[in-house]
Amino acid sequence: MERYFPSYQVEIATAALDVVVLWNDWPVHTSRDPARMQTTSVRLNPMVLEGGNVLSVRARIPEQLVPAAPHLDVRAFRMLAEDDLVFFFRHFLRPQHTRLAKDGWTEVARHEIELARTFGRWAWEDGAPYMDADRDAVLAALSDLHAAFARGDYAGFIGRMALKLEELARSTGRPTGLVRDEQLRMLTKLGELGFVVEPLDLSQIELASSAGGRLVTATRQGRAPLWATLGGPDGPPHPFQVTFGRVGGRWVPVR
Amino acid sequence: MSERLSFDFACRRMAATATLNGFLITSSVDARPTVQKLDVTALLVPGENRLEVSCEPLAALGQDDEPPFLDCGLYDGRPLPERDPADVLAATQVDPTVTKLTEGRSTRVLAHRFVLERTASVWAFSKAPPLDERRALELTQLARSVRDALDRRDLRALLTLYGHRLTEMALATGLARAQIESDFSEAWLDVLSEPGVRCDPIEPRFEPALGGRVAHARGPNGGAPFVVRTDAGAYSLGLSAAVIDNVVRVVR
Repeated sequence: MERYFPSYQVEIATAALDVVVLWNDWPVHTSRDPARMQTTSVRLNPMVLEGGNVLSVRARIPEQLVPAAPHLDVRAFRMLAEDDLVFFFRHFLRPQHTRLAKDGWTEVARHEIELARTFGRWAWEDGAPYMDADRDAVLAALSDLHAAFARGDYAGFIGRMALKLEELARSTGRPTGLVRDEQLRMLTKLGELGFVVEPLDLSQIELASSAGGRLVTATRQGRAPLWATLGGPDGPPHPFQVTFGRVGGRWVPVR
Repeated sequence: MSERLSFDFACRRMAATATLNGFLITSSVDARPTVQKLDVTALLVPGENRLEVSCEPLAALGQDDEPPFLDCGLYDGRPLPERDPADVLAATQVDPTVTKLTEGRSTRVLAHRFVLERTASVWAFSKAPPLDERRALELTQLARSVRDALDRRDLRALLTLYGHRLTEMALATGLARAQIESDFSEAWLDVLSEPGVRCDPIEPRFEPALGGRVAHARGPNGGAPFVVRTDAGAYSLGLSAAVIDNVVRVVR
């Protein structure tokens, strides 16, 4: 039994720049408001691959210039405990050392690493990449999820998320049953508070592929929450986002 | 005003090699702990610069059961009171419980590209003619001369061979040429005076770089071309050559 379960994380602090940080082509950070200092910390475990992993940091000059010095600080580390960190990559952007393209993204730092401790192969890794022809199938899977959620069938909803929850549990060293039960309890409790579930307008759904096309994330236009707010129409949005992968020829929620 | 950059390097039980634009920054060749802070300003070129670090874990020395470890990075070269500790261009900590390494195989653990508008000086090699086939014999002879100087513990010969490099290091750091030469002499005098001095039997091979104007000498696994071992430790010496004044000289 391991005393501590490893947590791979990346911390990003950025200002006065548009920044996208990709881990294995998965967007772990996207700057939203370059005018303000933004700090993000993301756990990478569910996207750790056996073999090589790639951290790619891309930046561009914001369309609306910000009257502040560009700032970008990236730290990727393995944490076993609060005082047990190994920084496997650090980069601090110095503008004089980086020529940012005026009309697009520039990769300002890149780190490749094969991690000693991984969590097995993810089911979606063997799927064929997403093609435009797959859009209907992905939207059908999304509609199916939405229907279960809208009728309050949280057990059915969680059941459809089984693979995602199994892989998340594996990547964090927790029993799958425990993670599933926690999710069901949380959804049931929130459901009692009253979700306001909007109809799913498929014409408003945007699909973005990542991880070499093997993952497809569904969002509503403008990155609005997919379909629900909590505790009334003016309540906070339920931060629901779903990412599909092709497993056994079907598109299923995997992240 | 150009700037100075520093490469901080600490390792134990690691064979590690760090290069900047192919120039050897440092190479640790045995399991003993090593801590270095090296001014790399003389290794910078205008335009794109490329830092690379590779390493492989080594078996423990005797009773030492400390695990292998490497911590290195490229930093603002100002002294610490002036330098912002966060000002790291790129750095890595390599712990085999985090990074998968294989004994007997070198793994690249850091690669970083960055640009510079200009450097501390215009290096002579930047105007050197390409090293063509006709220079191959001169390169081999130059490497043999360095090896011979180390074998004979001939510090004066070593200083002559590395004279051009010392001159340009002085330009890079702003220190007096005499100071640079004195530091180099003292370091190698200490090494060559130790008991049991011997050179590894390496036949360096040369890699062309920087548009063929420079040739980097390489040892096994891309490491240092010259390794001097004593009873107390192991020391590496790099060699990068270019044609300066129609003669093949050590430039770094």
